[in-house]
Amino acid sequence: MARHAQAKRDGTLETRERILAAARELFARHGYRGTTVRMIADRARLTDPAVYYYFPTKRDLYDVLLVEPLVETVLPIDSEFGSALDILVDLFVGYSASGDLARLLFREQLGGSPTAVEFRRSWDSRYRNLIGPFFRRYYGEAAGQLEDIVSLMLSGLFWDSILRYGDNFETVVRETAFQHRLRSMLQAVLPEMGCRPL
Amino acid sequence: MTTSAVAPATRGNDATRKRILQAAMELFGRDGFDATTVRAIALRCNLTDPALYYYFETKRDILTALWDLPSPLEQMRAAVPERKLDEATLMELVDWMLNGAARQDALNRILMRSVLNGDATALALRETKRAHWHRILTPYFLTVFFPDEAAVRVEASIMLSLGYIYIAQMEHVNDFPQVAAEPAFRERIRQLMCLAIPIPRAEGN
Repeated sequence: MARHAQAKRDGTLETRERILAAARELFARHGYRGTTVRMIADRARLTDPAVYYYFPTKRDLYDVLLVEPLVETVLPIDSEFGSALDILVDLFVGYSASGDLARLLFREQLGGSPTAVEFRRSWDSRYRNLIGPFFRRYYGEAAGQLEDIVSLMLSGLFWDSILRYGDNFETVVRETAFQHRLRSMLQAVLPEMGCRPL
Repeated sequence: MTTSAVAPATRGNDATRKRILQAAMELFGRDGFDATTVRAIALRCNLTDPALYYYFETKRDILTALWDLPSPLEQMRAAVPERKLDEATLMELVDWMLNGAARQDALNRILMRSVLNGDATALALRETKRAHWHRILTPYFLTVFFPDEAAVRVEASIMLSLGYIYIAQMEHVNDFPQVAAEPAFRERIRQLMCLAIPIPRAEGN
């Protein structure tokens, strides 16, 4: 993109963000096919051409939404069991911060969208990279299967909560009761290892 | 409405009943549960409204019939488990959940899409189904775990199975029922479930 003056650039960024926010919301609600560029423009209080200036096609918008950066926390390799659980809970909450995007992903995957499937795979593998070193240090050979269990169980909880809580998803996930439930599920499936690595 | 002593769930002829269910599936899939009217379903299968009401008194009854398509495994009863939870029983319960998901894949997809669209009927139906899983699993878990622990472990097993199912549904889309029937697919979740839910050994073993 061409370099504009600072002031101009701030304005431009803001418009771009507004379009993305509108698109994320509408895709989540009506699906990719059910959303028109006109609807996005209306929601962002812009004209159609203004949207096309930033995103030449609807597809471009969708692709940009799916590559936005997610959580960047790490599970420190030398965490104690209790604090490791806390970090796993925080990671889940972090991943849940964009409920609209998750609903969009869910819907598109049900329809078999390769982009959406690819994106979810990259979520999964990024998650595994975050928790992998810790699991290997604590659980040795069992680490792979325990990682599978944790990541599948949390996926189940994640998509189940998306369906169950709808628009309240992000709020519910931030509640103490939900996090307590999540923590006790993790505790139930992870063997405690005396707070010391193998 | 008829005063016949025969329950609507069993009267009429099977071919017509099937036709109604088929039409309902198509319309639910296209328009969602809330937006589909009984009239539209009747029109779709060339029946009058009263004729359709003879088979199903409410739209809710049609949904219930769709969920309850017969299957021997579905017969597992919640009341009192015949035996303590052991590994074999846990595997049967996993199979029961997987079979249900595979058998009702088409309806599940419609349901999930409708829930994402904010369809209240679909959400209620889904909650009923989830509660059913809890009701079937809990009595078994109570045979070996204290109540608090049983509740958490039931939840963990359901979420683990669900995660396994969701991801396979997303990966395989319409091929999910076939994939779910493959021995290798079953074997992996069995292994994970055994590891995730350590069942206390019975005394004397």
